Amino acid sequence: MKLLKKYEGFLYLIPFLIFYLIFTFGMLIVAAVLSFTNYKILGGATFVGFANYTRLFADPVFWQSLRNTALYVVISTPVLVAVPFLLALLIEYRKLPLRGFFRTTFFAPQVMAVSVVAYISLYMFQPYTGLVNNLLKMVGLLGQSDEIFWLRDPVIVWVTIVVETLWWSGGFNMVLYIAGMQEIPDMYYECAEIDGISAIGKVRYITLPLLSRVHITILFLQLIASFKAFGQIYLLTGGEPGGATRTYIQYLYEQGFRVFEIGRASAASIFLFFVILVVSGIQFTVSNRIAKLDS
Amino acid sequence: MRKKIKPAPVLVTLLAVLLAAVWWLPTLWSIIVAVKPVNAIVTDMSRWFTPPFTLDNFRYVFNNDQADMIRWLLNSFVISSAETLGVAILSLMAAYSFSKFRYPGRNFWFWIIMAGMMVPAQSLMIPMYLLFRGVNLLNTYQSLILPGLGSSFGVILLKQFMDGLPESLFDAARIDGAGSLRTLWSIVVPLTRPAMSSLLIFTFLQKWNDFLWPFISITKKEIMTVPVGIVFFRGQTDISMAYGMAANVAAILPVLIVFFFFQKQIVKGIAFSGIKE
Repeated sequence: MKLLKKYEGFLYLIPFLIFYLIFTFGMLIVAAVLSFTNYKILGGATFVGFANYTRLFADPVFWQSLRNTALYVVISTPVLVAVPFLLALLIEYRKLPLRGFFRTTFFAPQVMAVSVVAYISLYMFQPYTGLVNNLLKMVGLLGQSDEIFWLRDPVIVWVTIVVETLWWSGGFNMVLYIAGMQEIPDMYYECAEIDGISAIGKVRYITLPLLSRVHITILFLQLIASFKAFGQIYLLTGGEPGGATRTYIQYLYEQGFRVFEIGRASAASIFLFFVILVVSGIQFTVSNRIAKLDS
Repeated sequence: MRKKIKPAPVLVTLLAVLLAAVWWLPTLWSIIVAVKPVNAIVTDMSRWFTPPFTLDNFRYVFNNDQADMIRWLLNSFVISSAETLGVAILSLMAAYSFSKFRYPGRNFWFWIIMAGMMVPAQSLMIPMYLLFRGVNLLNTYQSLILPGLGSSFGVILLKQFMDGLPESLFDAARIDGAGSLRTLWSIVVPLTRPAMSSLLIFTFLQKWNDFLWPFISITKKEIMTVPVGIVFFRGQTDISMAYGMAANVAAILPVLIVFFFFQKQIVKGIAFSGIKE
């Protein structure tokens, strides 16, 4: 009876713990184990040591996908942090009418499924029939007989992908920024007003520095999300042109479910886990340091 | 006294309106394409709001031999609802356990579950697939519902919220002789409603839009969810664009309605947690 009293709280944890230990923790362990075997989908597996890892690191396609993903992280992260910040500034501008409407507008695409987003983008960016080229022609940015092939050029295609992703998920970071901005006391701005500081000065000296913790959170969330990007790219380009947009997750998917290289795909899974772990670790250290500086 | 003219608010408002127009354009365009006849010219904006309009594209989407849009919508609804209910119950109990009890091993388990936040779901696809294949549950509702029940997100979210509830309430309940289950039901449940409603809507939307796992694991048409199913309408030619967009609109509409009703909770939930899938 006394024992029951002592462990009463633990009883409430058990149901969740079972699911967690099987579907999160357990699966990670299984992935790690598989990465050291030559598991065959039709049965049979032997221990092969680090062979999957050496083969993974010797695969040019692995490096290609990693390079592509790194490129995407580098170009998408600044855009997906800066633009939402500016949108949040816009919405938090007190004299703007219908602020709720604008917030809804920028956030709404976030609730759409990735396949819908990719699908819409695919048609928007189509040459000849797509809306984007025709709009550019309408405003005179593109000659009447010219066409931009948004998905066929290995450089332009990344612009397309970043625009698509910004439209889709920019609202998420914007909401995080809005929440951060709402915690800054109005008093600071009022003081600045009295001191005759310009609007840009207020952003520069009040909003930006006081949001340091929010910046760090958003930056790292975005780094991780960009590294894991898959659907909006794969469904738009299929990795084309010439593998230029094959991302890391696409490589993982192809190894696991197209060529059924279970061992190598598991090694790639564990590699992904470590990348995310390291990034999260850096985030933890950086935000701790900032918290110390703040206090 | 002469009133000072301030151009800033006007300019800012104009900028906001322009941006909002850009942001609505893709959705608006999808709807226009969906309600126009298959070969209508939709690149000319001046003809967007003039007839002819038609519902034929929707008829094609909903009465299709190879695609079963109604079934997919139903599947998505059933799976998302079951997942949401399961996550709510499991997370509530686990958060209650961490927040209001002291027992040996509590901190250990909490750290183990916190660590789960760092595990990318993409890393678990292969063992997950082999697991469900091993127990013969591929292409079932269970295979789509169960994995998400082990996600730490809801536990952490609710625990943080519960930590903020005044301890005196729990002391009072204890003095009144209320058992832990009674306390959970009559104190914790009503008081955690704000965080809980965020979690419910968040989970539902996320599940509704979930793509990678059903894309990998579901091969039977009858079990597909909307995000995976509509890939079917992805046309090879531009002629099918109208059908594709009709399918898109059918897929977007339910979530947009949920969103407009609950956007306050969604936005609050994001701000509160700051966690991305």
